[in-house]
Formats: sequence, C-alpha cells, structure tokens
Amino acid sequence: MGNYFIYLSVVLSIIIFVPLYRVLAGPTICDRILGAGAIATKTMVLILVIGLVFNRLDMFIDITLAYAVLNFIGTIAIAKYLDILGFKKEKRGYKKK
Amino acid sequence: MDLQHLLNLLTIILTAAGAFFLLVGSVGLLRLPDFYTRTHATGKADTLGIMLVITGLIINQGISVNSAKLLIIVAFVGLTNPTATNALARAAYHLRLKPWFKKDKQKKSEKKEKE
Amino acid sequence: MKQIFFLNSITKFILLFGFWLLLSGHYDVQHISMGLFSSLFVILFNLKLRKHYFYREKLDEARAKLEDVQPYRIRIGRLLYYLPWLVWQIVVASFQVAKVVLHPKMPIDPALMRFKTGLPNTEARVILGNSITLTPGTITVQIEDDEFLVHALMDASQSGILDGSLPTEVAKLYEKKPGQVLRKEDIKISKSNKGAEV
Repeated sequence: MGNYFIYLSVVLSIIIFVPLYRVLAGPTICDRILGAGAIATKTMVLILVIGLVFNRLDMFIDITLAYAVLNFIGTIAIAKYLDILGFKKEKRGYKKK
Repeated sequence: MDLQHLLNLLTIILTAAGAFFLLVGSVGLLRLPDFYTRTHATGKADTLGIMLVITGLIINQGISVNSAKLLIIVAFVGLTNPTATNALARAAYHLRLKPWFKKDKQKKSEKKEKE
Repeated sequence: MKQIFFLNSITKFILLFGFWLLLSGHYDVQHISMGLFSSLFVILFNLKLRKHYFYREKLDEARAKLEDVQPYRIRIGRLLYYLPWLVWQIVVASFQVAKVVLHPKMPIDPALMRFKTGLPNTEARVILGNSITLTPGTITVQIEDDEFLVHALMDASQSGILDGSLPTEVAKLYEKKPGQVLRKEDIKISKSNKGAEV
C-alpha cells in the first residue's frame, strides 16, 4: 500500500506538467488562467497523497484547505478584474477585428 | 484482515479512476479548440477526479477527524470549482472572445478550396 | 426583528466555533479561548454586511406574505434526493467529456443557447447555474436577471435543457408542483458567429 501511493504521486506530478503547456502557449489570457487553475486543482490532490506517503496527513490536510481557498479567491479576483476591463472596452465602443 | 484487503482494493480503484479523470481534464485542456470548450474539460472532469481521489483517501482513513476534514474539502471543491469556471467564462464573454463553431470552420475551408 | 437577528448571530457564532474545534486538534484552554476570540471577531467584523442582507431577505419574505404568495424555502427532503442525482450527473458528464477528448476525431458541435426561466428567487438561479455546469455537455456563461446564456459542447438536443428537465428539477426544490418553468419557444440556439447577437 505504501508503494502504491508513491507511484500515484509520481503519476500525478507527471499529469501536472500537461496543463503547463496551456499556461505557456495559451492564445488568450483566459486560457492561461484556466490552465493555472487546473494546475492548482491537481496540486491539491498531490499534496494530499504526499501527506499519506509521509504519514502526516493531519498537517497536510490543513495546507490543502488553505490552498483550495487561495486558489478559488485568486481565480475569482482575476475574473472580476477581466470583467471590469471588458465593460470599460464596451463603453469606449471597442470593437474586435 | 479480509475486510482490510477489500478496503485497500477500493481505495486503489477510486484513486486510480480519479487520476484518470484528472488526466482527461489535462488532455482536454490541450486538445479542444477554443476557450469555451476547454472550460468543459476543467469544469467537469477535474471536479469528478478530485472528488474520486479524496473519497478514496476517506476510505483509507476510516472514521476519524481526518475524514471529516477531507469531507469538508470535497464539499468545498464541489461548490467552488464550477463557480470559478462560470466566473472565468463570464469574463471571457465580456471580453468578446468569439466561440469556435463547426459551421464557421467548414465555411473557411470551403473558401480556401475555392481560391 | 432585532431578536431574530440576534439569535441568527448566535447560531452563526456556534457554527463557526464548531468549525474551529473540528480544524484544531488541540482541546486545551489556550486553544479554545483563541477559537472563541477569533469566531467573535469574525461575527463582529461582518455585522454590518450581514445586517444588510438579513433585513433585505426578511423584507422580501414580508412582501411575499402581503401579496399572498408563499415565501420560498428550500425543501430539505427534496435536497436529499437532488444531491445524489447531481453526483450521478457529474459522473455521466465526465464520462462524456472523456469520450469526446480521447476520441481521435473529437466529434464536437458547440452551440450557444439563450433562454429565460421562471425560477422564484436568486438562490434557485445560483443552484441552476452551478448544476448546468456540472451536468453533461453544458456550462453557464452568463446569468442576467432571468436570462441564462449557456454554451453546449455536443449537439444541443442531448443536454437536459431542451426538454426542461433540469430547470424543473431545480424548481421542485422550492415548490411541490411547479408550473411550466421553461417554454420551448423561448430557447434561442445559435451555431455560428455570423448573425448572432453576441
């Protein structure tokens, strides 16, 4: 069982690298933020599994909770900022070609 | 002893399925053509993946304080992940990001053929 | 009114304190007193904001009583049926996404749908918005008052909106026999950037 969680954490850390491409090469800023959010979601799971490997799950769960809250608030804040930016462009009669 | 083996097997199945859905979310983020379709991948597959992995961990931990905290994380992720996706999609819509449609792509390829 | 608000604050304080006790594993005098202090601080810090929302909600309920409409309260029994149904929907949706993503040709045909619903209050709209995101093939893009803008991944008829089953399910959380929540003629579907009022 202990070995299985080590393999699982290795697989998860490989999966984390996949959305990194979207963060680096995303055509729009929304794509980049979406990729960053996906990475954060996977990191939460990875932290939990690493906690199981080290036998200190009680400590790592608290870290995961804080990380989840931070991820949510960060995404909402950036979305709100982009929202206001969109409204301002609309007001000025901005047109995308 | 026997029950312990069964629980271990259940944990392995659930966490492996969760890792599979996390992988599906990542691959969808790469392969799908535009922002709105990519939100489908992260909004659904990632939510289910994280829920499955944490359920597996709950079964591994049994009834304890840790399990209660993990349940809180499941509820929190299930509430916030779709909300964050909605917020981003709304921001993209207000930024006038144009969605990708099948018809538009077909028309473009027809034009190219005519030229 | 003031008394009810006071009781409400006490309940919230107890809930916050219980959450503290759950998260901190130590049960000695120092840690418990720290928890008491911080929950009290949070309640005091949010007093003005909570007062605003609380009084507005109560005013809405009083108005509903004056106009002889039943005040809308979420039905706990129905919620116990709704949550497992939603989890099952998430599983179905994820399998659908997996099938689409791993298919070599990616058989997608996106569409934007715009429709109006007759849901009773804001809470129900929030629940419907989140549920649309979690059910197969659709995500909510925008909610303006009563108008929903939904992006569908696959063929629009496959998602549970065209037959109105999902909005009806949400409306059943509040009323026993909801009227027609969604009219089929009101749904506008656009599958092209040209001529669409985006």
